[in-house]
Amino acid sequence: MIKLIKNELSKIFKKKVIYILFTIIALIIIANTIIGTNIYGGIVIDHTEEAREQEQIELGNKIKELDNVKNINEYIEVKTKLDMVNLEREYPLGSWQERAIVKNTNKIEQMLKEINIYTYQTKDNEKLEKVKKTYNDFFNPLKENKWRDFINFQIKELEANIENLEKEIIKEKNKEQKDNLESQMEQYKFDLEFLKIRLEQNISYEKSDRNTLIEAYKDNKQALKFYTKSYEQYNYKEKIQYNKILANANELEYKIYNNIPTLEPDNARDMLNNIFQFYEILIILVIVIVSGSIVSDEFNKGTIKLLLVKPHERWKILLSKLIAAIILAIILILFIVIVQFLVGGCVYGFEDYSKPLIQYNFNTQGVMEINVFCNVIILMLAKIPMYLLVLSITFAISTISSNTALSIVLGILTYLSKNIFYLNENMEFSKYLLPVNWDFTMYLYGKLPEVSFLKFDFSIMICLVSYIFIMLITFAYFKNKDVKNI
Amino acid sequence: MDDVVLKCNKLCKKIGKKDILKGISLEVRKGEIVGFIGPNGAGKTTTIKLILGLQKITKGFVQINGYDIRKEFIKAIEKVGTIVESPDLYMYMSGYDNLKISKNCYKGINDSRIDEVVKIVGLNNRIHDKVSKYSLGMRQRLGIAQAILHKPNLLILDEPTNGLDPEGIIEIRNLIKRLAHEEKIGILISSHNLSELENSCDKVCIIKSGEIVEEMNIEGLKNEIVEESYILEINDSKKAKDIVKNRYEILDNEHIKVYANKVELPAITKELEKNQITVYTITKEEITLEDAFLKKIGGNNID
Repeated sequence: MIKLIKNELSKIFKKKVIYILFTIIALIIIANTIIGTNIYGGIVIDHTEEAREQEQIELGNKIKELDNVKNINEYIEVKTKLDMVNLEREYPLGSWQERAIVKNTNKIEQMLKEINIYTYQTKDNEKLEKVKKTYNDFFNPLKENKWRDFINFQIKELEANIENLEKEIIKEKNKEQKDNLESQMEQYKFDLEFLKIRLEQNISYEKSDRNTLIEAYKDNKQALKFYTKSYEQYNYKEKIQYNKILANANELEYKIYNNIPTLEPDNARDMLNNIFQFYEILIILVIVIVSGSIVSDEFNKGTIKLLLVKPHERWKILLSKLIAAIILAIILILFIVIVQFLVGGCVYGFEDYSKPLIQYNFNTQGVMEINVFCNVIILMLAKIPMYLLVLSITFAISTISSNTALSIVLGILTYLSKNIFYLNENMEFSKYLLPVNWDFTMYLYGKLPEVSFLKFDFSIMICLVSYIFIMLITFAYFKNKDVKNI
Repeated sequence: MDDVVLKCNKLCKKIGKKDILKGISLEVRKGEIVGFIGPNGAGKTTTIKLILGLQKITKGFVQINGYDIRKEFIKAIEKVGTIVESPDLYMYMSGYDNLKISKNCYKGINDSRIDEVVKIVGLNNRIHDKVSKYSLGMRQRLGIAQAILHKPNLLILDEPTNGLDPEGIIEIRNLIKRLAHEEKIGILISSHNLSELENSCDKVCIIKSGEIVEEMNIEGLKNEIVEESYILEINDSKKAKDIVKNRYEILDNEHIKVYANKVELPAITKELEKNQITVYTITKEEITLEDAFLKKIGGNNID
């Protein structure tokens, strides 16, 4: 039996077409890796700085034309805007000060407006001093470049606000108002919590990966607050949405607290991790070409007679061909992994591979770190049922029809059949269809599949039953097949 | 009876409603070359495929070395070497790789046996070339090499001389004779060309429209259907009328056909000359076994 399999493999590898296919695949991987996903990344031009400068000049010109007595209201408005732009331009784009100013635009504008009113309109010095003090309290940490002081200042402000609100809540009699105030307080506490995390994790407002992480984390956490009912009460779509946010929030939290580095958008690790997305069609193509021709070619060229007059049972001969096709598929996947590993490493650096992937696991309800190689193996295992079934279906068609072209076309159509219809909740009948069930990546890490009627156990059963059914037919047919005269 | 290697008994094959074979029976013994002769479409290849288990037998049975091909396929087929139809080989591989693949299908053959058969069929120089670069004759030889690789005691060759030039035919014929006589292999060899086989076969089975019409010793066949005859070119064929005592036919004014052995010829010419009839040439009439045989079975009708 092993010798028969070896024979089949040597027949495959003596064909030039296999080497051509492998070379093409390698070239595609190389090209894809070098070009990357972010083709225009380097050409994006940021116009923000120019726009700010333009605005500054325009406002400066405008204010010169205005009289601060006659058009006092308009003057104050323009002056406030100009002051705001001037402030923003004091700090470079992306610095923590600039970010802090942008985030607090409303508040600062309010202060500037008050200052201008007190200076030009009412000329109320007492009030002016008071506002200026708040203004300086706010801007001193910025000027001194002490972001921690700035955050502490924000914390103090929030705490004061919370204290005031608590008093108001006790006084307030109106139920609706009370609820409003309470939710307002909740929001303050939520903001406070994140300010503390910034202090604790040493994350300033400066534009950085960590800053992006914490902002995204905050957004996700904020979104989670809307899910106030218990999990079971939501419908299936809401559950999926909730799970997505939950996983994101947990993964981001893990990254922030464990200081997991963020990689560039194009990096060797993620490219390796995504090979089954990028190159699946190539894998399928080769699988289909090989398994679609391995039996029918021998019938068409008459060489099957050489095989069938050898002292082996027919089922052994067919099985050895099937196993050879499976081995080739495994070799192909390994080939793609290795080529992607090497090319990705050469283009983006091998150190990317040592950085773990962060994955929320719904089964353990915890976040785990996975090595990219482990993840690729897990993905491969989840994809194997699909590859194996496409291979077997093509193999079966090839055996029964003895027509290579037909088997290849039908094999590819079988693979594409899942994309023909979009799954929705009204298509429960489709749970009996094989292509809907065979991709087990949808169940990975306890994720919910896109529609509620798909179940892990049921999918396994459908795949097994189909597989056994296909194999029984194929072997029974081959056993009784007459070798036609040519 | 021990030396019967192949025994077919009343083989019938039906494809759809059509009877392709209507009870074929034949036997091949050790060291015997059996010619299996019939026009195209008579059912030769089908019979061979039934013998080899490549097609299902509708009725009857096949025994090879005493094992039924259907019930004990592996034991039956173990000692059979064959070329069915043309020698279908893996064209994209070298001759050696083809043999190696065949070798891997049998137990207990080592690589030195490959070299041995390569020498037997005389392909030493080209064995590492790709089969796609081989001539038809070389492919036939490679086909025979892979058929005898595992030292079979029954060789079934389907039209092994098809498409070969006369020299190639002689080579293959000698090879087959040698295998039968030296290695004591029973050989069933099919052909639509009787004359090719007349010199090498011990026995012929003639098949027509799925039936065996004649099964006999090659000498018997020759004697029965072919009478030796000569064509004499003379100056006046009418005059020869009363002189020639053997059976004869007048073909035209200057040619007569005389049925005689070659030992009788001198006497005949002497007699003619005595009667002032000049003999210019004597030619042996080339009637092949096949021509005679076609006459007998009444042409080649495929139904």
